[in-house]
Amino acid sequence: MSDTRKDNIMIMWLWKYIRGYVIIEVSGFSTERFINLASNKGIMLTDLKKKDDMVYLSVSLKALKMLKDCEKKTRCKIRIVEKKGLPCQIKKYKNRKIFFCGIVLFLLIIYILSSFVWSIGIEGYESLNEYTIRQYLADENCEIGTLKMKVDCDELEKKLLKQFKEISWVSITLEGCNVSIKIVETIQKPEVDYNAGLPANIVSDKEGIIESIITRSGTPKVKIGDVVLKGDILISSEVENINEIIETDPEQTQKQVKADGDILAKTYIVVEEVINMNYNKKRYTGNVYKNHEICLGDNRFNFSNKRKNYTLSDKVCFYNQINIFGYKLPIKYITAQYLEYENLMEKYQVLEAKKIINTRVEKIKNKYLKEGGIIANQEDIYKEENDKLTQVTTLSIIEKIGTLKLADDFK
Amino acid sequence: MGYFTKDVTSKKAKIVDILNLPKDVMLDIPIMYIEGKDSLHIENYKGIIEYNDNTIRIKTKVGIIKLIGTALYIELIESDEIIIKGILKSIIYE
Repeated sequence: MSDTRKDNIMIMWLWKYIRGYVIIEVSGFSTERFINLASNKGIMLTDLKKKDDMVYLSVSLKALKMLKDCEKKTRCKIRIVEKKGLPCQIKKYKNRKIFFCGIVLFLLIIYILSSFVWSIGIEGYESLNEYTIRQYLADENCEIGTLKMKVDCDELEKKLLKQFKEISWVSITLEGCNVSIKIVETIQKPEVDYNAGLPANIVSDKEGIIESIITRSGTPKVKIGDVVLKGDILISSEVENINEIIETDPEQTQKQVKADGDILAKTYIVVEEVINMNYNKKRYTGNVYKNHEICLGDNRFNFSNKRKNYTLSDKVCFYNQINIFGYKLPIKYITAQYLEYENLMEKYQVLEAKKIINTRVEKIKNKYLKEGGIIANQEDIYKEENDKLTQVTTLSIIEKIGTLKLADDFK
Repeated sequence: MGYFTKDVTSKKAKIVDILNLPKDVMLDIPIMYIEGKDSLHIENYKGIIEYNDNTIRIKTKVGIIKLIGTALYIELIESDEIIIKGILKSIIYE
C-alpha cells in the first residue's frame, strides 16, 4: 500500500538526502498550474509551502532540468534558495581530502592496535608463583604485545594444566585486549602413612640423660636418670600379651604394637662464634651525584652530561612510571643518586664485640627453643686473641627426643 | 451504492461493483486516507485548482474536493498522489 511510503518519513528523508535536493522558489501568476504540470511529468515535489503568493518546494537535483519547460509554459520564475543533500556536501569537502584521510587513518590505527594483547590478568593462584606462570606463558607466545589471533586459548589451557601439577582447573578467555586467566589449584592430598599399623619402636636420636618418660603404648626400656646414646631403643614395640592368651593362641605370650610416648632428655650443645675486631666502617662523605634518565621500554636515555665517577658509591634509584587510569605505560623516569662513601678501618670495643657475638648466639639458641626445648643451663666463655673474639657457649637443653622406627622384622 | 457521477451508472461500473474489483484501479476514483486532524492523503487526483494557506481545492474524477483549514501545506506531490498536512477544518465535496 502506498501509505507505507508516507509513514516512513525517515527513510524518505534519507533517500532525499542521499540523492541531493534543492529548495526552489516559484513566483508567478499560475503557480498551481506549475505544480500540476510538474507532478504530471512524474517529478516528485515535497514540502510545499505557500508564502505571500510564492511557492517554496523541494525537488531532486535531476528534476530541476525538467522544470525548465514547466517554467516556460506557465510563465513562472524559479529561483534556487538552497542546495541540500549529500552530493553538495561532498563537493564542499573536496578540498579537505586530508581531513578524511585522517579519519580513515584514525580508524585504521585503532583497529590495528586493538588486535594486540595489552594485559594479562591471572587470578586464583595461591601456592604458585605468578612470575613462573607469566614466564611460562611468555615462552608459549602469550605476553603483552603478541597478536590476539595467535593466542589459542584452548591450547594454552591444556598446556598450563600439563605444565603445572598444582593447577586442577584453568580457564583462559580473551576479553577485548585483556587475557583473563582463572586458576583453581588442587587440594593437597594428605600424606598416607603406610606404616600406620605396623609395629615400631621409639629410638633415641640424640645423646642425653633421660629427664622424664611417659609411655602410651609399648614397653619402656629406660628410666629417669639413664644415659642414652644415639640409636638406643627407648620404648619397645614388644608387649606382654596377658589378656588375650587364652582366647587366641595359648603359646604366644608377646605381641608387637606401635610404640607411642613422650620422652624428655637433657642434651648438651656447644655453640662457637668468632668475630673479627677489625672491621670496615662505611662512612658517607656527603657527596651526592644525581643522574636523570628516561626509560622507554628497553631503551634508556640519559640526560646528564658530566659523569662523576666515585670509586666507592651506593646507588639509590627512584622509579616513576606513568599511569593512565591504572594502565602502566612502559615509560619510566628514573632518578639515580650516587652517594659516595669511604671505608674506614675501625676496631670494635670489647663490649661492642661481645654484644654482636651475643646476638648471634641468641639466634642459634632460639632455634633450639623453637623446637620445643627449655634451656636448663648456659655457660659462656670468651677468648680474645689476635684481634679476634671467640664466644663458646655450652647449652644444656631439656627437649623431646625419640623417633619412630619400624621394628626389625618389618623393616 | 450512492455515487453521483455519470460514469458510475455505466455498465463498466456495474460490472466492477458486482465482481468486487478494485475501484481505484478500474474506475480511477480517488481514495483518501485521513489521519486524525492533520494529515490527508489523496490517491488518484487529477490536479490542483487552488492552493492557499487556508484553502486547497483538488480536482478528482468524482468532482472537486475543497479542504478548509489553517496552516495547510503540501508535503508531497507525485503524479497521482498528494499528501496535505496542516490543521484541517472541513472537507467539502463540490
